[in-house]
Amino acid sequence: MDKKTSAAQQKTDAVALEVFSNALLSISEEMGALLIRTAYSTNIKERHDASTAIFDAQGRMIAQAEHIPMHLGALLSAITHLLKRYPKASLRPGDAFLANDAYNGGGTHLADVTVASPVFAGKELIGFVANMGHWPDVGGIKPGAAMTEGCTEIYQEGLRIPPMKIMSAGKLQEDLFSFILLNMRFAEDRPADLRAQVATNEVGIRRMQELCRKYGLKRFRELIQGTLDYNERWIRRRIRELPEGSWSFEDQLDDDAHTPEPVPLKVQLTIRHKPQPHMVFDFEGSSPQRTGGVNCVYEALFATVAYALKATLDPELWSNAAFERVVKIKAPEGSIVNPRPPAPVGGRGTTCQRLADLLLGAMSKVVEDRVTACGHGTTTVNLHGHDPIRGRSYICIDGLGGGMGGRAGHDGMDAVQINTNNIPNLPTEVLESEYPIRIERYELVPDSGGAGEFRGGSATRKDFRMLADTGFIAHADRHLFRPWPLSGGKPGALGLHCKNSSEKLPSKGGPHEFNTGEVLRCQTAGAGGFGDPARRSPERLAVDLADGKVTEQAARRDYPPQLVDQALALAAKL
Amino acid sequence: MSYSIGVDIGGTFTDVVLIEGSGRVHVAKGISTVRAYEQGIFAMVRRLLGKIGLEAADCGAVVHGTTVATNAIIERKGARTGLITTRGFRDVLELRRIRIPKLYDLEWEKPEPLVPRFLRVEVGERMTHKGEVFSPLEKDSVREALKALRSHGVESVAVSLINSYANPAHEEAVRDILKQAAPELHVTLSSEVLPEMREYERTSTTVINAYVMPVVKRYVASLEGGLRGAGFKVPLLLMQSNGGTMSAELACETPIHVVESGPAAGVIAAHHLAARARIRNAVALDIGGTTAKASLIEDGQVTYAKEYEVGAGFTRTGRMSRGGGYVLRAPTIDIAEIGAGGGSLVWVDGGGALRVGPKSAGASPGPACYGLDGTEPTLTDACAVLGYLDPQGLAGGEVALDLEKAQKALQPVADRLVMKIDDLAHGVYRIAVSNMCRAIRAISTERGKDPRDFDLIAFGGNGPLFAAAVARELELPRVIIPPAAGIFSAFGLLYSDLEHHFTQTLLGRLDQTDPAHAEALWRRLEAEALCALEREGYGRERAKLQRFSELRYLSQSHELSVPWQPTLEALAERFEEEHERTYGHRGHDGVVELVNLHLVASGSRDQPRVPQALEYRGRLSRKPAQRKAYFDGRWHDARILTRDSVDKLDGPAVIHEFDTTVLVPPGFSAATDSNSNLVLTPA
Repeated sequence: MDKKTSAAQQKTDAVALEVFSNALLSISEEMGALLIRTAYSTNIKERHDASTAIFDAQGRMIAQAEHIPMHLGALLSAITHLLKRYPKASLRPGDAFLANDAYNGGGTHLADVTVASPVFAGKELIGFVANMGHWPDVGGIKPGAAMTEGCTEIYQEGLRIPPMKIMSAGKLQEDLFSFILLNMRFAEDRPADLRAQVATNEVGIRRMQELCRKYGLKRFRELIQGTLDYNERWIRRRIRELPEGSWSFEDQLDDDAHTPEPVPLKVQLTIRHKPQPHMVFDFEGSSPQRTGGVNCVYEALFATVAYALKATLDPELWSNAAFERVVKIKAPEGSIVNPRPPAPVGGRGTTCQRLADLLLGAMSKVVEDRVTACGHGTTTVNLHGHDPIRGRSYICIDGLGGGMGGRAGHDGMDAVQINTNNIPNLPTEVLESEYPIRIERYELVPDSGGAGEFRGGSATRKDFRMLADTGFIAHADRHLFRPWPLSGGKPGALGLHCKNSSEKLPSKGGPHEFNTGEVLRCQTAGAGGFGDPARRSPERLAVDLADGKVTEQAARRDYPPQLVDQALALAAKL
Repeated sequence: MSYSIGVDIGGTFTDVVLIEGSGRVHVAKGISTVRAYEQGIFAMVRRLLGKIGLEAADCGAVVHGTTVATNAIIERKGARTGLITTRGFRDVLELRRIRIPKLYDLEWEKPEPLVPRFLRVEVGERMTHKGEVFSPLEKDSVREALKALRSHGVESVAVSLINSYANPAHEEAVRDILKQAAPELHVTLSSEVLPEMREYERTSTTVINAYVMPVVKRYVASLEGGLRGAGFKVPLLLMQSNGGTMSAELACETPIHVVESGPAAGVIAAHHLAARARIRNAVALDIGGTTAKASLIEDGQVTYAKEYEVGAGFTRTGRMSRGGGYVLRAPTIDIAEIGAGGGSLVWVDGGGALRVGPKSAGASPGPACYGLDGTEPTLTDACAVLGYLDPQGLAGGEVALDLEKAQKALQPVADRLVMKIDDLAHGVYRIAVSNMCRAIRAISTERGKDPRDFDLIAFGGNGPLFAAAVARELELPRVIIPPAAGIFSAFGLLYSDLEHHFTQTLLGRLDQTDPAHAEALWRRLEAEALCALEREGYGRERAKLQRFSELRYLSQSHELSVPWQPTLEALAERFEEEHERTYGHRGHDGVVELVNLHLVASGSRDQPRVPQALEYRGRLSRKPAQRKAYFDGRWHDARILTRDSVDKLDGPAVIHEFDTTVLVPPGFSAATDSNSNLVLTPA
């Protein structure tokens, strides 16, 4: 490209791409809003466990509603897998495809059910729209089967669905759908969810067609290519600002839900400026694949890497397929980060949260002031059983927020979702009105945030009183290994599952049976602190003491005596 | 001779509009007196009355759009507030919904709770979701709580107990104890402010009410006292977020209703204009110095939202990115706001792309071309370079325009992107237009509405400058620019009616709802509404009550609002129609659930406050001329006119007014309609 063309090209890019990418993002956001407002599953409508994305005709993701980073993986290769089974020439307007398989469907675990639809302008295939909703159950050994006892293969986690044509030219394929529904628990609301998912795509299709009509097909394609090229340039420019070199970091999961031994994770990060700025992530040294559901397929690993890059390089980077161009991921085959079928994958979310810690840990060696110390990870609760009051079976999925790691200049936030998970909680009043459970406590945990110049965020605790016999399946971690600090801070507190305040339960797995009247205490981990506690400002410590987030006893243990005295004096005046 | 006054306070300017019974309009514009807004208001009103020769005693209405509640929240200057809640739930306010709007931004901070943890105290009690007492209120724990809060000097108390939406008895008992022991405390009950399910949203709303209540009370007392001292006899009315007015006295009890007081006025003015011009569907677009605000008027009705976040910043209104501000669940006009206004800064991002906003140069230092202290390039500077702005200055010459300074500010950006300065300026203009379009998309396409079915009513100091380009981008058929577009919002204050909203949760399958029970609840709400209207001087004969209901399919969690019907069967059918219209499909089993009853009570006046024909003499007069202006990649000879001289013309043209500039690009024609609006249509 000569200089003149280049300048002209850039001019188009600078203005036109901003306008075009706004339009794509608007479409994916509109789709997401529609899905949440019309779905029936509590998990989609209240906890927003759903995502939407737009693809070009080759199946490359060009926009994703910024919602739950993990889902970048859940949708990333949805279309690639679809096209393997259904060649482009066979696709017709009004077709829609359903898939959930982690090895053949582009999914990352079976509960995430994707519906993808081709978009035509006249006879021309111009792209795809897709959305994914977390269904409460997809069959399998136990309700919401992931990480349960005896579940050692993906077959036991639920019905595996490769991309299958669920709508043909606008008509529901009743045979296929009734077969799918028969293989799932709590299936009565799934027709409504499917309808909402199909309607969501229909809106996406209309908006894509309008956009294409407005620009003309040729220009439309140029602009799609442009958004990928632009994002690639942008990522590379950010990588060039980092030093070249190689760094490694290690961490571990408590266990794999089956075998009570730690699961090692390791990454070596390499940054090179030539031939073009790029990064290599090598996961050699991570555990071989496990029989528990903590395995993580490539798509989920990739989504986690993309998360860590966006978070540390530039949060404004677009979520699209350009990340694949600048990042090389080496994941040994047959390992926990690149399992062979039929390894179970239902609990991959817990692993991804730990992988995000691992990647931030590696990045902390390059740019310490841009990352956070280690956070809580994830705590998701699956409660299921028969509700005698309402006369129906139920499954209740809830998540807890925990500590975000301390960071240069700020305390870590208390009680939030972090890393690749951004699912809201289930309000107590909604939960109590739908399930036979009473919440007795939902609060911050004192002294759970690691001490530091910038304190780690606090954990939360939620106590569930069962009003019917209930099974509990746990999806959590950091009950054995404390969230690590950075730059001289102290580690955060461990998480905890407890039955009737005495019997300790493991961080993962189940189901653990609870009789009517028994209580589950569920507590997340805190987070690591950042920087030397002695450098903490007395004002910040004073607020912590007044608020009871840090007790005087813990303060005396972690901070210098004169700092604590000064803070106590200030706290009395707040 | 009676007259009405509207006072609209903005971040930079205070606008006063006075309309005489004869239809004569007088306006005044002054810099807002940020430390004590009421002082500025008194001064401006007094000066205006003196100039015209009117008596305060003859004034028929004073309606005020205020930012006092919003500012108290955003600047964290509300009252020292305590929260009383159920044991075990002290942290609901701080836990929020645990998700965060900017997950990738590791520097993001969630807003600090308006009530810090040490001022949140627990009492022993518990209701079930059905409203049954599970454990009775421990009265001693309330006294302990009060003691703790008083020792910290709390001035206002919010009470929000779990499941109180289903039975308010415990909250009411808490209030009785507080009032008896500490009558000076301001108390807000969640079951009164928002008797709806979802503890975080209800608690947050209750806390906001408690937090701003003393501030609003003091402000209103000072303003009302001042007006009375100056001889005004009418009670002060405040604009609510929902576009209705409310007596200042009632606003002091439920100040959550006046948090978005300012932005609502513009939409009400647009709604009125639409009604007069017989426009059923329109987008109201208000562009000022820092933001663009868009709202829909659909089928002749203003659109409402049930919930929004105060202080969430100017980011996206997208429904997927929530959690940035303080959740306030109270009926409000559904307004999307985006950081795109005249002062929006021009910059280049990490990937080498041109960006405009959301940061703004504001009133100070202001755009470079204003020749104040600003040196950074802004959208207004780009407009100056493109030849859109009057080189003789804005606001009739009060603000000078320095073209060279605009060019100097933009040149480094042009150099960096290897662009000619005029191409760059036009790029800036287009990006700003695309940002403004996102505000419109947020309230149209994101809600399943097609913007092409809507006309555009553009106002605010910068609205008419971008209106045609926005209309072209979204293919809106027509642009309507009202007279005095730059101070249009102040007119809206005078068009609005007294209006109150009351809600009550009534959760259950519609086919199992007892119509008699529903009717009894309606009666109770209506009695409450009539009582409120009565207090504001509207007897039963002038009260208008409208019943709405919020419904969903059983198992959904988002409701649609539809007018209540004579039978529950008819109501179900009306809901299904609305669901299909909004989302394109009906539910698969048709089981409909009733969630809330929603009563809108308004008071109608004997005669309109604003006469039909207005006479406004605030325009510039200048001889027609020509100037170079840049459109679509090249320079054009544009006609330069003032509004009075426009009958019908084709673009390119620039119409200068005292309070705004109207751009008529090539391909558009402009004409004046019978209501003195300018109407722009693509040729």
